[in-house]
Amino acid sequence: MLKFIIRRVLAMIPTILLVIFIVFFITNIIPGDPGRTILGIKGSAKEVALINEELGIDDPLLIKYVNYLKGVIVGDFGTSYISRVSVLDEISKKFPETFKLAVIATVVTAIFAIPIGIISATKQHSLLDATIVISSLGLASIPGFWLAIVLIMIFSLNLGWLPTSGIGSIKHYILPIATLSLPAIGFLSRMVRATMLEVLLQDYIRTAKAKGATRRQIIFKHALKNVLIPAVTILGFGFSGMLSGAIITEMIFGLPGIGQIVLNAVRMNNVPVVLGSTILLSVSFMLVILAMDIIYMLIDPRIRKQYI
Amino acid sequence: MIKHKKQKKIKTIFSRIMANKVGFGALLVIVVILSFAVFADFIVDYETLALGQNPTERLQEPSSEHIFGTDSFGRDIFARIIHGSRYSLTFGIGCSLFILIGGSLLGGLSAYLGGRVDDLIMRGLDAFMCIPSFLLAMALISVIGMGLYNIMIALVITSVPGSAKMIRSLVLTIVHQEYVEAAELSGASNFKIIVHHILPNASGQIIVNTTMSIAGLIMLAAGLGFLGLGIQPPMPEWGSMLSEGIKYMRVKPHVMMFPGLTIVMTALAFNLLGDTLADAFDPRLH
Amino acid sequence: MSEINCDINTVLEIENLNVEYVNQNTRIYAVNGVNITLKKGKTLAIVGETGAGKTTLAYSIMQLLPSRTGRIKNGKIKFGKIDIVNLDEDSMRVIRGNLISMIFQDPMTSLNPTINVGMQIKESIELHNNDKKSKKQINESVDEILTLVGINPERKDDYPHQFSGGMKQRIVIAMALACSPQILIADEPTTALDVTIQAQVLNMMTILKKQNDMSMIFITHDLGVVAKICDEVAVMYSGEIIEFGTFEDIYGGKSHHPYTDGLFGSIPDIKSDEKWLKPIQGLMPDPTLKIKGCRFAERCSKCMDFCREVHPKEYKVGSHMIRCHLFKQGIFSNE
Repeated sequence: MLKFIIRRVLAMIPTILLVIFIVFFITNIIPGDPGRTILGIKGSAKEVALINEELGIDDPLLIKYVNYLKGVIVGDFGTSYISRVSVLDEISKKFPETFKLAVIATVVTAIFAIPIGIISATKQHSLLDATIVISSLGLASIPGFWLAIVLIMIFSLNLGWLPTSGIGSIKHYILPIATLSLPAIGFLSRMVRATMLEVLLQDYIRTAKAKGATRRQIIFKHALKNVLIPAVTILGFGFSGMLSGAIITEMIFGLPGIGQIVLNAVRMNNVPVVLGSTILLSVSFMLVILAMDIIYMLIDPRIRKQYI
Repeated sequence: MIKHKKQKKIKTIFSRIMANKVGFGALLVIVVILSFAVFADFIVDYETLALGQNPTERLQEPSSEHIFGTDSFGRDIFARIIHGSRYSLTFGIGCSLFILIGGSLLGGLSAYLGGRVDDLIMRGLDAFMCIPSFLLAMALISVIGMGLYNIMIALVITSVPGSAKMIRSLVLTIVHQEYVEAAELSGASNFKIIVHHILPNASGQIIVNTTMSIAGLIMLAAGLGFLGLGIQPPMPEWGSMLSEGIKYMRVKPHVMMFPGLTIVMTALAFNLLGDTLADAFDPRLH
Repeated sequence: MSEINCDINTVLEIENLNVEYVNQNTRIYAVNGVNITLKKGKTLAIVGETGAGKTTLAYSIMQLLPSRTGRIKNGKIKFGKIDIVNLDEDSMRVIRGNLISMIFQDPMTSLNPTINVGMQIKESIELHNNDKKSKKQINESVDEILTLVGINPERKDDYPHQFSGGMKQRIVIAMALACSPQILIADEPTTALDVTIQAQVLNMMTILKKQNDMSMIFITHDLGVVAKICDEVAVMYSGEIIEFGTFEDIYGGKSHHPYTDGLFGSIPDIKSDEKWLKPIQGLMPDPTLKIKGCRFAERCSKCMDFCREVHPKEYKVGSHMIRCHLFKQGIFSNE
């Protein structure tokens, strides 16, 4: 077990280097004019040029990458062009909030989507199944930002049940989590339904029936585990979308987290902040995938036996 | 003979879509939106209705004159939605085609070459896919700037890796099927195997995935527009129209409701069509 | 349940069974008017080509037909005194795996990949634990039954993918025998195995059958296997039993249905000088058609005009039954 985790963590290192390279390359395709960004309109051309030179703006891309990497290793992700604060300080304090939001939304998604998908599959060809199929596809077709606004209109403005924005109580998190989870529930429950239908056609289900197992036993004892494996995969890879979604959701609902910082940085072309937060989010996503692999090992004996 | 068979296959798949009421409805919606995009200029005038500001008619509720009402500049929302379909469909359909081309080239090449090259390409794609794609698109746009082509570039670059991986695994599954191995043993050329075995067997899933990806891209593009990173006002883009409407959501909810419903309906139509296609292509349901 | 089986010799009796598969636009006549009796302690083989309705017959006995499409149109399946056809799902579950067990064709896919084999055997026992065995007793039974099928009980914590094909089939058999059923239905249990493993598994099944005093329905298309283990043989064609008899009737008797003759003509005989096998020409009739005359008429070398018009009855001489116009009740003309 431990051996497996160590091996997987070591295998992550080259991927992280590659991720940093890709993000670095993309955000530095065009050299830009950071001096101007830093000083604003007030700065003179001379001062701007000086800062640009200091930042090594004209260096070859590869040298800039190596320099950046050297910094990253010692925890230096550069300095924000706008606030002149260390990028790591700026984002690391607020990052856990964003991560927490994405994790909770993922868990909520699993709690709802897996049972819904299973019920839908076991009641195939019924009216309930048809309703679930159509409405889950409908949910998956709603863009999160619009869903957020509609939810605010209904539950905050019209009914007055929930606050529109801000923090303070659990109530403040209901709408943001619904915004993130509802489309994901639509997507995942469809997948779970399809897998369940596939699993129910397998020979080992027929064997269980021939043993005299009840439908309930067949679903929970024989089918569930085989359905959970693909469901965990979808949830794991969907976490990347949850992180992107969390950023927009935080902005709409005024939640603390790196959403506002990232969006401002993108708008102002504040490259070090964009770069740093993208890397941080990517690495956190990779850690989630690692956790998913460990969960796999616990569920699936075929994988477990390879490592223990 | 083969051509005849192929036509027959297309015919049966088409007839299955038509037989499915939901699929038929989705196709109808798509045809309507597509014709809106193509004939937008004949339906409503761009300059006067979609762009022309009219301060005396600000924020009007839907009426017979403006069926979706007017926005805060007195522009007809229906006209703006009709013209906005051009952007959304360009992003959706245009990008999905480029993504398909890029994904097929990269994924197909990787599967075809195998070995070290395949490993290398897969490593790169895996790393790429660790980066939340919407974030990457935003980062790219913040560097290369906004505008129709830049947004398309950002959407295509961030989506190609997923498409390439999908196509690679699809190709590999088919290549390892016994009938392909049989064809190989009987001396069929690579070209023949690709044309006769891989393409016909992969096409179903590729068409389904592409159709569904159109829905995703339309939502992504609208998301960028919503954040002010897409097509800039006063151009009529669904996402940015929606974000302009937020200010008035308490008093005039229709300003944000109609663009939002249009996005949902369009995305749903493409998703439903993809879903119907998936059933129509499934040989087990024949 | 045991008092039901008061009729000493017959454990299962099927009368005029008709099974259909129905979907939106087609109706498949899979089993057409089958009559069979299974005697206590005997092995009945059902032989026939793929698509003859053998598996459908087995699924009907187990009540495992696909619920939406398959249905028993009429007929009786009498298990002792009860008619299985009219039984509700809950009562049927008491019978399944307990009084009647079934093993399936492909051992590779018959076991659940995520549950260890010990648990899977244990489940069979727990589902029908009428004499309230304790956990310890159940575990002992599992060990016992694994030993019985020739697998080291220490391997019960292993998962299916860690066993070979032959061993998996032994585990499947262990599962089916766990509750000492009265009837075991084996649907081509050895088809997916190597010839040497096949022989081992068949021997084992014969021994276990004797030990448990079970009756067995053995479905196969392999006449060699039939010769090794069966007491009675039913030849199935296009959903009908066209010949039925004891092992001696079928393998020894001179009179046969032309189809049975054809089947035996398709087996290579190393003692014979003939260079070519004589396969039966043609294909089975489309199961979606209702056929007026004899179902084998189109492929029969002895077909008369009459055969296409009138459906042949079951003609019997002693234990031997042939459904063919060439024969008459009481006397088989060419015998």
